[in-house]
Amino acid sequence: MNAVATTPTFSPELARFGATARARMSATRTVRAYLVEAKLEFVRAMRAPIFVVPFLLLPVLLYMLFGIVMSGASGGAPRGVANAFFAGFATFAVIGPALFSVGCGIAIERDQGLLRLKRALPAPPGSYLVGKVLMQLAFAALATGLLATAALLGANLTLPAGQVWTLVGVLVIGTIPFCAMGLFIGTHVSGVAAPGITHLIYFPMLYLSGLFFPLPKVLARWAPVWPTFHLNRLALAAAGGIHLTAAQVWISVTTLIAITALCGTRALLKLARRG
Amino acid sequence: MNDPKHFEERGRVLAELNGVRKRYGNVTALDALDLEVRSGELLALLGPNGAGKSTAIALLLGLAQPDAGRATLLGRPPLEVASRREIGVMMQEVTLAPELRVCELVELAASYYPNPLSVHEALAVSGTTPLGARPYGKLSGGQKRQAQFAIAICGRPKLLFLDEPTVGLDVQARETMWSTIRALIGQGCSIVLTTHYLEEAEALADRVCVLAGGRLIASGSVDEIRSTVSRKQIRCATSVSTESARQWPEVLKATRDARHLHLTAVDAETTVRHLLAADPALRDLEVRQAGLAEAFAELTKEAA
Repeated sequence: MNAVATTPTFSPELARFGATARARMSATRTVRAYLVEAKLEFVRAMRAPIFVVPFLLLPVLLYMLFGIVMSGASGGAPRGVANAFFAGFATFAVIGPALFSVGCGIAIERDQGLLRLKRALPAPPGSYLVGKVLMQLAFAALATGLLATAALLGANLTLPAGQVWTLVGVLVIGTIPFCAMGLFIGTHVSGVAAPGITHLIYFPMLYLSGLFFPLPKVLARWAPVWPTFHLNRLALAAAGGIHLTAAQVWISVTTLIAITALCGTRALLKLARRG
Repeated sequence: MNDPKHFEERGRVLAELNGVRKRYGNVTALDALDLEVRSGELLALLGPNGAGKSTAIALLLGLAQPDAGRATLLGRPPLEVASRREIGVMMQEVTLAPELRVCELVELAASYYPNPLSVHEALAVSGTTPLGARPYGKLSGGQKRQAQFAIAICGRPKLLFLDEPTVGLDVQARETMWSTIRALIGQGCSIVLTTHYLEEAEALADRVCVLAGGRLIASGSVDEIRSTVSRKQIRCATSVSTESARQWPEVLKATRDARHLHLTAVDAETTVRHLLAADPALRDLEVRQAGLAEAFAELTKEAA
Protein backbone atom coordinates (compact mmCIF):
# COMPACT_ATOMS: atom_id res chain seq x y z
CA MET A 1 0.00 0.00 0.00
CA ASN A 2 2.88 2.34 0.81
CA ALA A 3 4.19 2.24 -2.77
CA VAL A 4 1.10 3.92 -4.10
CA ALA A 5 0.86 7.63 -3.84
CA THR A 6 -2.62 8.77 -2.99
CA THR A 7 -2.62 11.95 -4.90
CA PRO A 8 -6.05 12.09 -6.44
CA THR A 9 -6.36 14.81 -8.98
CA PHE A 10 -8.87 17.09 -7.32
CA SER A 11 -10.39 18.02 -10.55
CA PRO A 12 -12.15 21.31 -11.06
CA GLU A 13 -15.19 19.14 -11.84
CA LEU A 14 -15.38 18.26 -8.17
CA ALA A 15 -16.21 21.84 -7.30
CA ARG A 16 -19.45 21.52 -9.26
CA PHE A 17 -20.44 18.56 -7.12
CA GLY A 18 -21.36 20.48 -4.02
CA ALA A 19 -23.44 23.13 -5.74
CA THR A 20 -27.00 22.89 -4.49
CA ALA A 21 -28.91 20.27 -6.39
CA ARG A 22 -32.55 20.78 -7.24
CA ALA A 23 -35.08 18.03 -6.66
CA ARG A 24 -37.50 19.30 -9.28
CA MET A 25 -37.26 17.68 -12.67
CA SER A 26 -38.15 19.92 -15.60
CA ALA A 27 -40.46 18.54 -18.27
CA THR A 28 -37.67 18.78 -20.83
CA ARG A 29 -35.36 16.70 -18.69
CA THR A 30 -38.07 14.11 -18.09
CA VAL A 31 -38.67 13.75 -21.82
CA ARG A 32 -34.92 13.57 -22.31
CA ALA A 33 -34.69 10.71 -19.79
CA TYR A 34 -37.20 8.71 -21.83
CA LEU A 35 -35.39 9.46 -25.08
CA VAL A 36 -31.95 8.55 -23.74
CA GLU A 37 -33.35 5.29 -22.44
CA ALA A 38 -34.89 4.46 -25.82
CA LYS A 39 -31.79 5.51 -27.75
CA LEU A 40 -29.49 3.36 -25.65
CA GLU A 41 -31.86 0.40 -25.87
CA PHE A 42 -31.56 0.69 -29.64
CA VAL A 43 -27.77 1.06 -29.49
CA ARG A 44 -27.59 -2.05 -27.32
CA ALA A 45 -29.68 -4.09 -29.70
CA MET A 46 -27.61 -3.04 -32.68
CA ARG A 47 -24.39 -3.95 -30.88
CA ALA A 48 -25.66 -7.43 -30.09
CA PRO A 49 -25.57 -9.21 -33.45
CA ILE A 50 -27.09 -12.29 -31.86
CA PHE A 51 -30.27 -10.25 -31.59
CA VAL A 52 -30.08 -8.41 -34.90
CA VAL A 53 -29.26 -11.27 -37.23
CA PRO A 54 -32.13 -13.64 -36.54
CA PHE A 55 -34.83 -11.04 -36.02
CA LEU A 56 -33.83 -8.63 -38.75
CA LEU A 57 -32.61 -10.95 -41.49
CA LEU A 58 -34.59 -14.13 -40.96
CA PRO A 59 -37.97 -12.70 -42.04
CA VAL A 60 -36.41 -11.02 -45.09
CA LEU A 61 -34.49 -14.11 -46.14
CA LEU A 62 -37.46 -16.42 -45.61
CA TYR A 63 -39.72 -14.01 -47.47
CA MET A 64 -37.27 -13.77 -50.36
CA LEU A 65 -37.09 -17.55 -50.51
CA PHE A 66 -40.82 -18.34 -50.26
CA GLY A 67 -42.46 -15.13 -51.34
CA ILE A 68 -40.23 -14.18 -54.26
CA VAL A 69 -37.99 -16.99 -55.51
CA MET A 70 -40.27 -19.98 -55.03
CA SER A 71 -43.51 -18.27 -56.01
CA GLY A 72 -41.71 -16.84 -59.05
CA ALA A 73 -40.53 -20.32 -60.01
CA SER A 74 -44.07 -21.68 -59.79
CA GLY A 75 -45.18 -19.11 -62.36
CA GLY A 76 -46.11 -16.33 -59.96
CA ALA A 77 -48.69 -16.30 -57.18
CA PRO A 78 -52.29 -15.58 -58.04
CA ARG A 79 -53.53 -12.02 -57.63
CA GLY A 80 -53.89 -11.01 -54.01
CA VAL A 81 -52.01 -13.99 -52.62
CA ALA A 82 -48.70 -12.15 -53.00
CA ASN A 83 -50.15 -9.29 -50.94
CA ALA A 84 -51.35 -11.63 -48.19
CA PHE A 85 -48.03 -13.42 -48.19
CA PHE A 86 -46.16 -10.15 -47.80
CA ALA A 87 -48.46 -9.00 -44.99
CA GLY A 88 -48.02 -12.35 -43.21
CA PHE A 89 -44.25 -12.14 -43.31
CA ALA A 90 -44.28 -8.50 -42.28
CA THR A 91 -46.45 -9.38 -39.25
CA PHE A 92 -44.02 -12.19 -38.45
CA ALA A 93 -41.13 -9.70 -38.66
CA VAL A 94 -42.58 -7.39 -36.01
CA ILE A 95 -44.02 -9.75 -33.42
CA GLY A 96 -40.97 -11.99 -32.87
CA PRO A 97 -38.63 -9.24 -31.69
CA ALA A 98 -41.44 -7.58 -29.69
CA LEU A 99 -42.17 -10.75 -27.73
CA PHE A 100 -38.67 -12.09 -27.38
CA SER A 101 -36.53 -9.04 -26.89
CA VAL A 102 -38.99 -7.28 -24.60
CA GLY A 103 -40.12 -10.38 -22.71
CA CYS A 104 -36.83 -12.21 -22.30
CA GLY A 105 -34.90 -8.95 -22.01
CA ILE A 106 -36.92 -7.76 -19.03
CA ALA A 107 -36.94 -11.18 -17.37
CA ILE A 108 -33.16 -11.43 -17.62
CA GLU A 109 -32.55 -7.87 -16.49
CA ARG A 110 -34.84 -8.41 -13.51
CA ASP A 111 -32.76 -11.45 -12.56
CA GLN A 112 -29.59 -9.39 -12.94
CA GLY A 113 -30.73 -6.75 -10.47
CA LEU A 114 -30.84 -4.01 -13.09
CA LEU A 115 -34.46 -3.14 -12.38
CA ARG A 116 -33.70 -2.96 -8.69
CA LEU A 117 -30.96 -0.44 -9.41
CA LYS A 118 -33.23 1.59 -11.68
CA ARG A 119 -35.84 1.69 -8.93
CA ALA A 120 -33.26 2.84 -6.40
CA LEU A 121 -32.08 5.52 -8.83
CA PRO A 122 -34.66 8.17 -9.63
CA ALA A 123 -35.50 6.72 -13.06
CA PRO A 124 -38.83 8.22 -14.15
CA PRO A 125 -41.53 5.60 -13.60
CA GLY A 126 -42.05 3.77 -16.85
CA SER A 127 -39.01 5.14 -18.68
CA TYR A 128 -37.50 1.67 -18.75
CA LEU A 129 -40.61 0.11 -20.26
CA VAL A 130 -41.32 2.99 -22.61
CA GLY A 131 -37.69 2.88 -23.73
CA LYS A 132 -38.01 -0.78 -24.57
CA VAL A 133 -41.24 -0.21 -26.49
CA LEU A 134 -39.90 2.78 -28.46
CA MET A 135 -36.83 0.77 -29.38
CA GLN A 136 -39.10 -2.05 -30.57
CA LEU A 137 -41.05 0.37 -32.75
CA ALA A 138 -37.83 1.57 -34.34
CA PHE A 139 -36.75 -2.00 -34.83
CA ALA A 140 -40.11 -2.96 -36.31
CA ALA A 141 -39.81 -0.06 -38.76
CA LEU A 142 -36.38 -1.29 -39.80
CA ALA A 143 -37.43 -4.93 -40.16
CA THR A 144 -40.62 -4.22 -42.10
CA GLY A 145 -38.88 -1.52 -44.13
CA LEU A 146 -36.34 -4.07 -45.33
CA LEU A 147 -39.11 -6.53 -46.11
CA ALA A 148 -41.15 -3.93 -47.99
CA THR A 149 -38.13 -2.95 -50.04
CA ALA A 150 -37.58 -6.59 -50.98
CA ALA A 151 -41.26 -7.00 -51.84
CA LEU A 152 -41.43 -3.87 -53.97
CA LEU A 153 -38.32 -4.89 -55.86
CA GLY A 154 -39.00 -8.59 -56.26
CA ALA A 155 -42.57 -9.71 -55.66
CA ASN A 156 -45.57 -9.13 -57.89
CA LEU A 157 -47.64 -7.23 -55.34
CA THR A 158 -50.80 -5.65 -56.67
CA LEU A 159 -50.56 -2.95 -54.03
CA PRO A 160 -49.10 0.40 -55.05
CA ALA A 161 -45.94 1.42 -53.17
CA GLY A 162 -47.76 4.05 -51.09
CA GLN A 163 -50.12 1.41 -49.71
CA VAL A 164 -47.28 -0.97 -48.96
CA TRP A 165 -45.84 1.74 -46.73
CA THR A 166 -49.26 2.25 -45.10
CA LEU A 167 -49.26 -1.44 -44.27
CA VAL A 168 -45.79 -1.08 -42.78
CA GLY A 169 -46.98 1.88 -40.69
CA VAL A 170 -49.93 -0.06 -39.27
CA LEU A 171 -47.66 -2.98 -38.38
CA VAL A 172 -45.17 -0.74 -36.64
CA ILE A 173 -47.89 0.77 -34.42
CA GLY A 174 -49.40 -2.70 -34.08
CA THR A 175 -46.17 -3.85 -32.44
CA ILE A 176 -47.35 -2.21 -29.21
CA PRO A 177 -49.78 -4.96 -28.10
CA PHE A 178 -47.05 -7.55 -28.62
CA CYS A 179 -44.60 -5.44 -26.63
CA ALA A 180 -47.24 -5.38 -23.88
CA MET A 181 -47.46 -9.17 -24.02
CA GLY A 182 -43.67 -9.27 -23.77
CA LEU A 183 -43.80 -6.92 -20.77
CA PHE A 184 -46.30 -9.21 -19.12
CA ILE A 185 -44.16 -12.30 -19.64
CA GLY A 186 -40.95 -10.50 -18.67
CA THR A 187 -42.37 -9.19 -15.41
CA HIS A 188 -43.92 -12.50 -14.36
CA VAL A 189 -41.37 -15.20 -15.08
CA SER A 190 -37.63 -15.61 -14.54
CA GLY A 191 -35.00 -15.13 -17.23
CA VAL A 192 -34.55 -18.88 -17.49
CA ALA A 193 -38.25 -19.57 -18.03
CA ALA A 194 -39.00 -16.61 -20.31
CA PRO A 195 -37.75 -18.03 -23.65
CA GLY A 196 -39.70 -21.26 -23.17
CA ILE A 197 -42.91 -19.53 -22.18
CA THR A 198 -42.56 -17.09 -25.07
CA HIS A 199 -42.09 -19.92 -27.58
CA LEU A 200 -45.19 -21.57 -26.20
CA ILE A 201 -47.21 -18.50 -27.15
CA TYR A 202 -45.25 -17.42 -30.21
CA PHE A 203 -45.47 -20.52 -32.41
CA PRO A 204 -49.17 -21.25 -32.06
CA MET A 205 -49.81 -17.55 -32.56
CA LEU A 206 -47.81 -17.54 -35.80
CA TYR A 207 -49.25 -20.64 -37.40
CA LEU A 208 -52.77 -20.82 -36.01
CA SER A 209 -53.63 -17.28 -37.04
CA GLY A 210 -53.12 -18.17 -40.70
CA LEU A 211 -50.31 -15.74 -41.39
CA PHE A 212 -48.49 -17.85 -43.98
CA PHE A 213 -51.02 -20.20 -45.55
CA PRO A 214 -54.77 -20.72 -45.53
CA LEU A 215 -55.85 -22.77 -42.53
CA PRO A 216 -58.13 -25.82 -42.63
CA LYS A 217 -61.70 -24.82 -41.79
CA VAL A 218 -61.68 -26.19 -38.27
CA LEU A 219 -58.61 -24.13 -37.37
CA ALA A 220 -59.65 -21.07 -39.36
CA ARG A 221 -62.71 -20.69 -37.10
CA TRP A 222 -60.39 -20.23 -34.16
CA ALA A 223 -57.87 -17.92 -35.84
CA PRO A 224 -59.52 -14.78 -34.37
CA VAL A 225 -58.47 -15.78 -30.85
CA TRP A 226 -54.87 -14.90 -31.78
CA PRO A 227 -53.91 -11.20 -31.72
CA THR A 228 -51.69 -11.78 -34.75
CA PHE A 229 -54.81 -12.50 -36.80
CA HIS A 230 -56.24 -9.09 -35.93
CA LEU A 231 -53.07 -7.14 -36.57
CA ASN A 232 -52.51 -8.92 -39.85
CA ARG A 233 -55.99 -8.25 -41.20
CA LEU A 234 -55.97 -4.62 -40.05
CA ALA A 235 -52.65 -4.02 -41.81
CA LEU A 236 -53.83 -5.68 -44.99
CA ALA A 237 -57.12 -3.80 -44.92
CA ALA A 238 -55.42 -0.46 -44.32
CA ALA A 239 -53.36 -1.08 -47.43
CA GLY A 240 -56.47 -1.95 -49.45
CA GLY A 241 -55.46 -5.60 -49.87
CA ILE A 242 -58.72 -6.89 -48.37
CA HIS A 243 -62.00 -5.31 -47.38
CA LEU A 244 -63.20 -5.32 -43.76
CA THR A 245 -66.59 -4.20 -42.47
CA ALA A 246 -66.68 -1.46 -39.85
CA ALA A 247 -67.65 -4.08 -37.25
CA GLN A 248 -64.66 -6.23 -38.13
CA VAL A 249 -62.32 -3.25 -37.87
CA TRP A 250 -63.86 -2.34 -34.53
CA ILE A 251 -63.45 -5.90 -33.17
CA SER A 252 -59.81 -6.12 -34.25
CA VAL A 253 -58.85 -2.68 -32.94
CA THR A 254 -60.63 -3.28 -29.63
CA THR A 255 -58.99 -6.68 -29.20
CA LEU A 256 -55.52 -5.24 -29.70
CA ILE A 257 -56.16 -2.28 -27.41
CA ALA A 258 -57.61 -4.58 -24.74
CA ILE A 259 -54.54 -6.83 -24.87
CA THR A 260 -52.27 -3.79 -24.58
CA ALA A 261 -54.19 -2.39 -21.62
CA LEU A 262 -54.51 -5.69 -19.78
CA CYS A 263 -50.93 -6.90 -20.20
CA GLY A 264 -49.46 -3.41 -19.81
CA THR A 265 -51.23 -2.59 -16.54
CA ARG A 266 -50.48 -6.01 -15.06
CA ALA A 267 -46.81 -5.54 -15.94
CA LEU A 268 -46.68 -2.01 -14.50
CA LEU A 269 -48.37 -3.10 -11.28
CA LYS A 270 -45.95 -5.97 -10.89
CA LEU A 271 -42.97 -3.69 -11.46
CA ALA A 272 -44.27 -1.02 -9.11
CA ARG A 273 -44.60 -3.60 -6.35
CA ARG A 274 -41.44 -5.62 -6.67
CA GLY A 275 -39.16 -4.45 -9.44
CA MET B 1 -17.84 24.40 1.10
CA ASN B 2 -18.18 28.16 0.75
CA ASP B 3 -21.88 27.71 0.89
CA PRO B 4 -22.91 28.42 4.50
CA LYS B 5 -25.93 26.17 4.02
CA HIS B 6 -23.71 23.15 4.35
CA PHE B 7 -22.71 24.18 7.84
CA GLU B 8 -26.25 24.97 8.90
CA GLU B 9 -27.39 21.63 7.66
CA ARG B 10 -24.60 19.66 9.22
CA GLY B 11 -26.02 17.10 11.63
CA ARG B 12 -29.55 17.23 10.20
CA VAL B 13 -31.10 13.79 9.81
CA LEU B 14 -31.18 12.84 6.12
CA ALA B 15 -32.46 9.30 6.36
CA GLU B 16 -33.76 7.21 9.19
CA LEU B 17 -35.29 3.95 10.21
CA ASN B 18 -37.62 4.07 13.24
CA GLY B 19 -38.39 0.85 15.06
CA VAL B 20 -38.19 -1.07 11.82
CA ARG B 21 -38.96 -4.77 11.65
CA LYS B 22 -38.58 -6.88 8.57
CA ARG B 23 -39.09 -10.61 8.21
CA TYR B 24 -38.43 -12.81 5.21
CA GLY B 25 -40.43 -15.97 5.85
CA ASN B 26 -39.19 -17.32 9.17
CA VAL B 27 -36.05 -15.22 9.19
CA THR B 28 -36.09 -11.94 11.06
CA ALA B 29 -33.84 -9.70 9.00
CA LEU B 30 -34.30 -6.59 11.12
CA ASP B 31 -35.64 -6.42 14.64
CA ALA B 32 -36.81 -3.05 15.95
CA LEU B 33 -33.93 -1.21 14.33
CA ASP B 34 -33.39 2.51 14.76
CA LEU B 35 -30.86 4.09 12.49
CA GLU B 36 -30.09 7.68 11.54
CA VAL B 37 -27.93 9.09 8.80
CA ARG B 38 -26.92 12.69 9.47
CA SER B 39 -25.87 15.37 7.08
CA GLY B 40 -22.16 15.66 6.39
CA GLU B 41 -21.18 12.33 7.88
CA LEU B 42 -19.90 9.06 6.54
CA LEU B 43 -21.76 6.34 8.34
CA ALA B 44 -20.31 2.85 8.04
CA LEU B 45 -22.65 -0.08 8.53
CA LEU B 46 -20.74 -3.09 9.71
CA GLY B 47 -21.85 -6.57 10.52
CA PRO B 48 -21.30 -10.19 9.66
CA ASN B 49 -23.10 -11.73 6.66
CA GLY B 50 -26.82 -11.84 7.26
CA ALA B 51 -26.68 -9.12 9.89
CA GLY B 52 -29.29 -7.05 8.08
CA LYS B 53 -27.11 -4.39 6.44
CA SER B 54 -28.48 -4.87 2.95
CA THR B 55 -32.04 -5.07 4.24
CA ALA B 56 -31.56 -1.81 6.12
CA ILE B 57 -30.33 -0.14 2.91
CA ALA B 58 -33.16 -1.66 0.85
CA LEU B 59 -35.69 -0.17 3.27
CA LEU B 60 -34.05 3.26 3.11
CA LEU B 61 -34.14 3.11 -0.69
CA GLY B 62 -37.76 2.01 -0.85
CA LEU B 63 -36.85 -1.32 -2.45
CA ALA B 64 -38.57 -3.17 0.38
CA GLN B 65 -41.28 -2.17 2.82
CA PRO B 66 -40.91 -2.61 6.59
CA ASP B 67 -43.36 -4.95 8.32
CA ALA B 68 -43.46 -2.48 11.21
CA GLY B 69 -41.89 0.90 11.87
CA ARG B 70 -41.07 3.63 9.41
CA ALA B 71 -38.37 4.48 6.89
CA THR B 72 -37.76 8.09 5.86
CA LEU B 73 -35.50 9.39 3.13
CA LEU B 74 -34.87 13.14 2.99
CA GLY B 75 -38.02 13.77 4.96
CA ARG B 76 -40.23 11.78 2.62
CA PRO B 77 -41.26 8.17 2.13
CA PRO B 78 -38.44 6.44 0.19
CA LEU B 79 -40.88 5.27 -2.48
CA GLU B 80 -41.30 8.81 -3.83
CA VAL B 81 -39.17 9.45 -6.86
CA ALA B 82 -38.54 13.03 -5.69
CA SER B 83 -36.68 11.88 -2.59
CA ARG B 84 -34.49 9.59 -4.67
CA ARG B 85 -33.44 12.47 -6.95
CA GLU B 86 -31.08 13.60 -4.21
CA ILE B 87 -29.40 10.28 -3.66
CA GLY B 88 -26.88 8.14 -5.49
CA VAL B 89 -26.63 4.38 -5.22
CA MET B 90 -23.99 1.76 -5.77
CA MET B 91 -25.38 -1.70 -5.24
CA GLN B 92 -23.92 -5.15 -5.01
CA GLU B 93 -24.62 -7.75 -7.64
CA VAL B 94 -25.92 -5.61 -10.46
CA THR B 95 -25.25 -6.51 -14.08
CA LEU B 96 -25.35 -3.44 -16.29
CA ALA B 97 -25.82 -3.59 -20.06
CA PRO B 98 -22.57 -5.18 -21.30
CA GLU B 99 -22.93 -3.66 -24.79
CA LEU B 100 -22.97 -0.07 -23.56
CA ARG B 101 -19.86 2.01 -23.02
CA VAL B 102 -19.20 3.40 -19.55
CA CYS B 103 -19.88 6.94 -20.78
CA GLU B 104 -23.27 5.83 -22.15
CA LEU B 105 -24.20 4.18 -18.86
CA VAL B 106 -23.29 7.38 -17.04
CA GLU B 107 -25.28 9.44 -19.58
CA LEU B 108 -28.33 7.25 -18.92
CA ALA B 109 -28.08 7.46 -15.13
CA ALA B 110 -27.45 11.22 -15.32
CA SER B 111 -30.61 11.66 -17.41
CA TYR B 112 -32.67 10.63 -14.36
CA TYR B 113 -31.48 13.63 -12.32
CA PRO B 114 -32.62 17.26 -12.50
CA ASN B 115 -29.18 18.83 -12.40
CA PRO B 116 -26.45 16.22 -12.84
CA LEU B 117 -22.76 16.46 -13.57
CA SER B 118 -21.92 16.17 -17.24
CA VAL B 119 -20.66 12.77 -18.32
CA HIS B 120 -17.18 14.23 -18.61
CA GLU B 121 -17.37 15.66 -15.08
CA ALA B 122 -18.75 12.45 -13.57
CA LEU B 123 -15.94 10.41 -15.10
CA ALA B 124 -13.33 12.93 -13.95
CA VAL B 125 -14.64 13.10 -10.38
CA SER B 126 -14.81 9.33 -10.03
CA GLY B 127 -11.40 8.87 -11.65
CA THR B 128 -12.83 6.74 -14.45
CA THR B 129 -12.04 8.92 -17.47
CA PRO B 130 -9.82 6.18 -19.00
CA LEU B 131 -12.74 3.74 -18.86
CA GLY B 132 -15.23 6.07 -20.55
CA ALA B 133 -15.10 4.62 -24.06
CA ARG B 134 -14.87 0.97 -22.99
CA PRO B 135 -17.85 -1.37 -23.23
CA TYR B 136 -19.01 -2.32 -19.75
CA GLY B 137 -18.93 -6.03 -20.57
CA LYS B 138 -15.20 -5.86 -21.31
CA LEU B 139 -14.23 -4.40 -17.94
CA SER B 140 -12.63 -6.32 -15.10
CA GLY B 141 -14.58 -6.82 -11.87
CA GLY B 142 -12.84 -3.90 -10.20
CA GLN B 143 -13.34 -1.61 -13.22
CA LYS B 144 -17.04 -2.45 -13.18
CA ARG B 145 -17.20 -1.29 -9.58
CA GLN B 146 -15.47 1.96 -10.62
CA ALA B 147 -18.00 2.47 -13.42
CA GLN B 148 -20.82 1.87 -10.95
CA PHE B 149 -19.23 4.47 -8.69
CA ALA B 150 -19.31 6.99 -11.53
CA ILE B 151 -23.01 6.19 -12.00
CA ALA B 152 -23.64 6.62 -8.27
CA ILE B 153 -22.15 10.12 -8.12
CA CYS B 154 -23.30 11.51 -11.49
CA GLY B 155 -26.51 13.03 -10.10
CA ARG B 156 -24.64 15.14 -7.53
CA PRO B 157 -26.38 13.36 -4.67
CA LYS B 158 -26.77 14.81 -1.19
CA LEU B 159 -26.73 11.29 0.14
CA LEU B 160 -24.77 8.45 -1.36
CA PHE B 161 -25.33 4.75 -0.61
CA LEU B 162 -22.28 2.62 -1.26
CA ASP B 163 -22.75 -1.10 -0.74
CA GLU B 164 -19.33 -2.79 -0.61
CA PRO B 165 -17.86 -0.29 -3.08
CA THR B 166 -14.27 -1.49 -3.13
CA VAL B 167 -14.77 -5.24 -3.56
CA GLY B 168 -12.43 -6.44 -6.31
CA LEU B 169 -10.49 -3.19 -6.57
CA ASP B 170 -6.71 -3.21 -6.61
CA VAL B 171 -4.88 -1.20 -3.97
CA GLN B 172 -4.40 1.87 -6.12
CA ALA B 173 -7.98 1.97 -7.37
CA ARG B 174 -9.20 1.55 -3.81
CA GLU B 175 -7.05 4.42 -2.58
CA THR B 176 -8.38 6.60 -5.40
CA MET B 177 -11.95 5.74 -4.53
CA TRP B 178 -11.30 6.43 -0.85
CA SER B 179 -9.87 9.85 -1.57
CA THR B 180 -12.78 10.66 -3.86
CA ILE B 181 -15.15 9.61 -1.10
CA ARG B 182 -13.35 11.93 1.34
CA ALA B 183 -13.47 14.75 -1.20
CA LEU B 184 -17.22 14.23 -1.71
CA ILE B 185 -17.76 14.48 2.04
CA GLY B 186 -15.78 17.71 1.88
CA GLN B 187 -18.24 18.94 -0.73
CA GLY B 188 -21.17 18.39 1.63
CA CYS B 189 -22.21 14.94 0.49
CA SER B 190 -23.24 12.41 3.14
CA ILE B 191 -22.47 8.75 2.68
CA VAL B 192 -23.76 5.43 3.96
CA LEU B 193 -21.15 2.76 3.43
CA THR B 194 -21.45 -0.94 4.04
CA THR B 195 -18.24 -2.83 3.98
CA HIS B 196 -16.57 -6.04 4.98
CA TYR B 197 -13.19 -4.34 5.05
CA LEU B 198 -12.78 -2.97 8.54
CA GLU B 199 -9.80 -0.90 7.49
CA GLU B 200 -12.14 0.82 5.05
CA ALA B 201 -14.45 1.86 7.88
CA GLU B 202 -11.42 2.79 9.96
CA ALA B 203 -10.06 4.98 7.17
CA LEU B 204 -13.29 6.72 6.21
CA ALA B 205 -16.06 6.58 8.76
CA ASP B 206 -17.16 9.40 11.06
CA ARG B 207 -19.55 7.01 12.71
CA VAL B 208 -19.87 3.26 12.76
CA CYS B 209 -23.01 1.22 13.37
CA VAL B 210 -22.49 -2.45 14.05
CA LEU B 211 -25.42 -4.72 13.22
CA ALA B 212 -25.81 -8.33 14.22
CA GLY B 213 -28.88 -10.50 13.99
CA GLY B 214 -30.94 -7.57 12.72
CA ARG B 215 -30.19 -5.41 15.74
CA LEU B 216 -27.93 -2.43 16.32
CA ILE B 217 -25.36 -3.67 18.81
CA ALA B 218 -23.00 -0.71 18.85
CA SER B 219 -22.82 2.77 17.42
CA GLY B 220 -20.26 5.54 17.70
CA SER B 221 -17.05 6.90 16.26
CA VAL B 222 -14.33 4.43 15.28
CA ASP B 223 -12.47 5.34 18.49
CA GLU B 224 -15.56 4.84 20.62
CA ILE B 225 -16.22 1.44 19.09
CA ARG B 226 -12.62 0.47 19.59
CA SER B 227 -12.68 1.53 23.21
CA THR B 228 -15.75 -0.57 23.95
CA VAL B 229 -13.32 -3.40 23.75
CA SER B 230 -10.76 -2.87 26.49
CA ARG B 231 -8.10 -5.01 24.92
CA LYS B 232 -4.51 -4.20 24.23
CA GLN B 233 -2.09 -5.75 21.81
CA ILE B 234 1.40 -6.19 23.27
CA ARG B 235 4.45 -7.18 21.29
CA CYS B 236 8.04 -7.62 22.44
CA ALA B 237 11.26 -9.52 21.83
CA THR B 238 11.70 -11.67 24.92
CA SER B 239 12.73 -15.04 26.20
CA VAL B 240 9.33 -15.46 27.96
CA SER B 241 7.51 -18.44 26.46
CA THR B 242 3.90 -18.42 25.34
CA GLU B 243 3.12 -21.08 27.95
CA SER B 244 4.28 -18.98 30.85
CA ALA B 245 2.55 -15.86 29.47
CA ARG B 246 -0.71 -17.78 29.32
CA GLN B 247 -0.43 -18.40 33.07
CA TRP B 248 -1.02 -14.71 33.76
CA PRO B 249 -4.73 -14.08 34.37
CA GLU B 250 -4.99 -10.88 32.31
CA VAL B 251 -3.55 -12.49 29.17
CA LEU B 252 -6.20 -13.75 26.76
CA LYS B 253 -4.03 -14.93 23.96
CA ALA B 254 -0.33 -15.55 23.40
CA THR B 255 1.44 -16.37 20.18
CA ARG B 256 4.99 -16.14 18.97
CA ASP B 257 6.74 -15.60 15.65
CA ALA B 258 10.45 -15.78 14.84
CA ARG B 259 11.26 -12.53 16.63
CA HIS B 260 8.38 -11.51 18.82
CA LEU B 261 5.96 -12.64 21.45
CA HIS B 262 2.43 -11.33 20.77
CA LEU B 263 -0.05 -11.00 23.61
CA THR B 264 -3.66 -9.87 23.77
CA ALA B 265 -4.50 -8.68 27.25
CA VAL B 266 -7.26 -6.88 29.10
CA ASP B 267 -4.80 -4.93 31.23
CA ALA B 268 -1.62 -3.73 29.54
CA GLU B 269 0.11 -2.31 32.61
CA THR B 270 -0.05 -5.51 34.67
CA THR B 271 1.07 -7.58 31.70
CA VAL B 272 4.07 -5.34 31.12
CA ARG B 273 5.04 -5.59 34.80
CA HIS B 274 4.84 -9.37 34.56
CA LEU B 275 6.92 -9.37 31.39
CA LEU B 276 9.64 -7.14 32.80
CA ALA B 277 9.80 -9.16 36.00
CA ALA B 278 10.19 -12.39 34.02
CA ASP B 279 12.70 -11.02 31.51
CA PRO B 280 14.59 -7.82 32.42
CA ALA B 281 16.38 -8.04 29.05
CA LEU B 282 13.13 -7.60 27.15
CA ARG B 283 13.40 -5.35 24.06
CA ASP B 284 11.28 -3.86 21.33
CA LEU B 285 8.17 -3.38 23.49
CA GLU B 286 5.06 -2.09 21.75
CA VAL B 287 1.59 -1.66 23.26
CA ARG B 288 -1.39 -0.61 21.20
CA GLN B 289 -5.15 -0.31 21.47
CA ALA B 290 -7.07 -3.12 19.79
CA GLY B 291 -8.14 -2.20 16.26
CA LEU B 292 -11.63 -2.04 14.88
CA ALA B 293 -11.22 -5.61 13.69
CA GLU B 294 -10.75 -6.93 17.23
CA ALA B 295 -13.58 -4.75 18.53
CA PHE B 296 -15.85 -5.94 15.78
CA ALA B 297 -15.04 -9.59 16.38
CA GLU B 298 -15.70 -9.17 20.09
CA LEU B 299 -18.97 -7.26 19.63
CA THR B 300 -20.46 -9.64 17.11
CA LYS B 301 -19.38 -12.64 19.19
CA GLU B 302 -21.22 -11.22 22.19
CA ALA B 303 -24.32 -10.61 20.11
CA ALA B 304 -24.38 -14.10 18.65
